[in-house]
Amino acid sequence: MKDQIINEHESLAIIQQMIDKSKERIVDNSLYFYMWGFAVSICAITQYILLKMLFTRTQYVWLLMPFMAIVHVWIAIKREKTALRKTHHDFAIQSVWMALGIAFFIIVGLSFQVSFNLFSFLILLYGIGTFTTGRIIQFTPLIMGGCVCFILCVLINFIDGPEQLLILALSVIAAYIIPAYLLQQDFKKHISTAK
Amino acid sequence: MRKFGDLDPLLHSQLRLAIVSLLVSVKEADFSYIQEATNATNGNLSVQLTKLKDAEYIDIKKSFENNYPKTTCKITKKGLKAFERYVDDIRNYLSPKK
Repeated sequence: MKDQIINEHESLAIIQQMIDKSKERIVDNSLYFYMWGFAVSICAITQYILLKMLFTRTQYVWLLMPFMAIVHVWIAIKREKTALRKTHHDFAIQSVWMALGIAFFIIVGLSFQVSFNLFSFLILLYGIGTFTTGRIIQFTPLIMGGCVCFILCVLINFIDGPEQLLILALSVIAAYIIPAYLLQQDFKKHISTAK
Repeated sequence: MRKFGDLDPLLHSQLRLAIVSLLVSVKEADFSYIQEATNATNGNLSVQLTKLKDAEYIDIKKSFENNYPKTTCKITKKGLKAFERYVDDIRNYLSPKK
């Protein structure tokens, strides 16, 4: 492409061509969903097993979470630096998850002072994140995963004891792990058809 | 009605229009991404980006990534308005209102 004068039809063609090029690449963001999906489900199931084996202080399994947050931030910064472009969608998704990340810290912090069902609120936040991301990138499995979380955040209030941990694990499997797998497959398919 | 010749001369050029159209579609883009999308040469792209920057249509951020220079471009509000006006002008030219 050169710096030359064009006519009106060429102008429209260039605008259309550039808009199409910006749509060409979809980004594989399944890594974050896998990371958190496996971390939360492994912690929840491990704590459940430990409780069933009558261990005490099982809550320490959740110390993996701050470590995961550090790893997440590190990967995000690295990806941001090497990214060739940032779309409006990327910015919107990033903003949603930043707000949810802050909400997670507030809710977990509050749970030490105020009595409420922490897991119910966490599942609700998972649902909001996946549902919104699914709507933005128009990916149905994420929207469905979000809907499953909306149901589970209500259902968990009618279940007592350690079994709540299994509901928590189920929520991240439905909202993070399964959609992440499908997102990755979709990305691979997109790449192979683009070649 | 504005005539075709009245179109923003800064946008009414193949490469500059392509750059601005691309930056309207994405939030920000790296120099190499713009180069790949527009098929422009290094030198020509640099010149056109500077012209758009001087007109305050785009922002250019220079940084270093692994010791290599990295140039990131982003459209400004002024650039976005100019682009919208350009598209309106073309639309009016192609189907003038009676």
